[in-house]
Amino acid sequence: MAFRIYILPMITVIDAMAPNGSVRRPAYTDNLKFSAVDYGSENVCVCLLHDLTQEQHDSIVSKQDVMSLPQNLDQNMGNSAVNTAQSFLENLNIPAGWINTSRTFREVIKIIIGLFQFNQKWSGLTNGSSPFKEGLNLETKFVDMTTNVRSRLLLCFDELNIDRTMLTVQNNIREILFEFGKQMKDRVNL
Amino acid sequence: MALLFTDAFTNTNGTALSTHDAGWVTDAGAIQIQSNAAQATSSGARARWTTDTPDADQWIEGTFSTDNSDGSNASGLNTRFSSGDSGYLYWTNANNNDLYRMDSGSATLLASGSGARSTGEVLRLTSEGSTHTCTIDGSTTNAPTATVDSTHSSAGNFGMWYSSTGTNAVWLDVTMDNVGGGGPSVSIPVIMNQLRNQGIC
Repeated sequence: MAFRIYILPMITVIDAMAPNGSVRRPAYTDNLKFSAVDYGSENVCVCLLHDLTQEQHDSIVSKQDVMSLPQNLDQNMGNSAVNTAQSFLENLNIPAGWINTSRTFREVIKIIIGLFQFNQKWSGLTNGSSPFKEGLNLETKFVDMTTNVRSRLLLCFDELNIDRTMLTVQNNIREILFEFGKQMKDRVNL
Repeated sequence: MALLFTDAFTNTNGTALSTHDAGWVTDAGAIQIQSNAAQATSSGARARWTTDTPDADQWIEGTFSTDNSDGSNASGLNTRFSSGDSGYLYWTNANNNDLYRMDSGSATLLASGSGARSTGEVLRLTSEGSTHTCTIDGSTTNAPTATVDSTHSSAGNFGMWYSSTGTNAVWLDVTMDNVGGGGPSVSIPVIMNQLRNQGIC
């Protein structure tokens, strides 16, 4: 018995068995036992897949829009893994400049799951939007946001009891998300 | 009526759920009592228990009944549920049991369980902090793996959700409470503990 962790696309499919007849779900997981944490309304998730055969694993990692983690999460990331992760994640608006070879895969995925909670809370506050759908990008600074967006950003911290006293108006989304994920990771028991 | 609340749906056949107890507000479709169970009489029916205001950390459990072998009829239990169909939904039919997040009626599948479900099983959904845990008869085996999701962190209401018409997916009873509120909580709201219990790691 084992599980593997992947970063996968989220897709929306017609499913007569689902509530209301359609469902948004992790790609490539039909008939597999899984749990997923999505990046709010962005179409990507961290997915734990259980009891995969080697054939199933090979099929999933053959997809170009998938990143997989090794089974041993407690090893430090190597240079190649760091480069791969940074390129893959940044392309999905997931800040990754903080990933380096001093971090283990477990620490990295816990921070990523943590910062995903920010976008989830944002989605909950906006009925399905995200900072990026509202025109922000990873480099947008707090000082350059509208009053409404600033208020929403702070509410994401406050509603989940995340300390925001270290933030300044010069912080950008990249730094804000990392700070959120760094604090949230201690609540992720992985 | 204060939490802990249990409804065994004991009433005359054909009694509307909101007539059976005015605390139940039906937001869509129609739900009535049949054979002392809560049964949808139109597809997409859903209702919330509004008499009590729970804490955000809450659980709901119900005894499921189905004789629908092809799994086409399903129903579920909700935590942090709103009139606009947002919150968390533990969803089951004869073949599957899954954990969904509902966002204004749009479903996101967060975790999948395994194995066929059968009449008399007690399904529970616990939302505690950002962790959402499902159990079947007090066990995490075959239930969707616990997951973390922070989209809906407000208390909302407890609820019931139906896809089916007819008697094939009904709730024989439901019980709901705050986490730590005195009910027989068995949830282990962390992913790792769930995996350990299943012998996965």
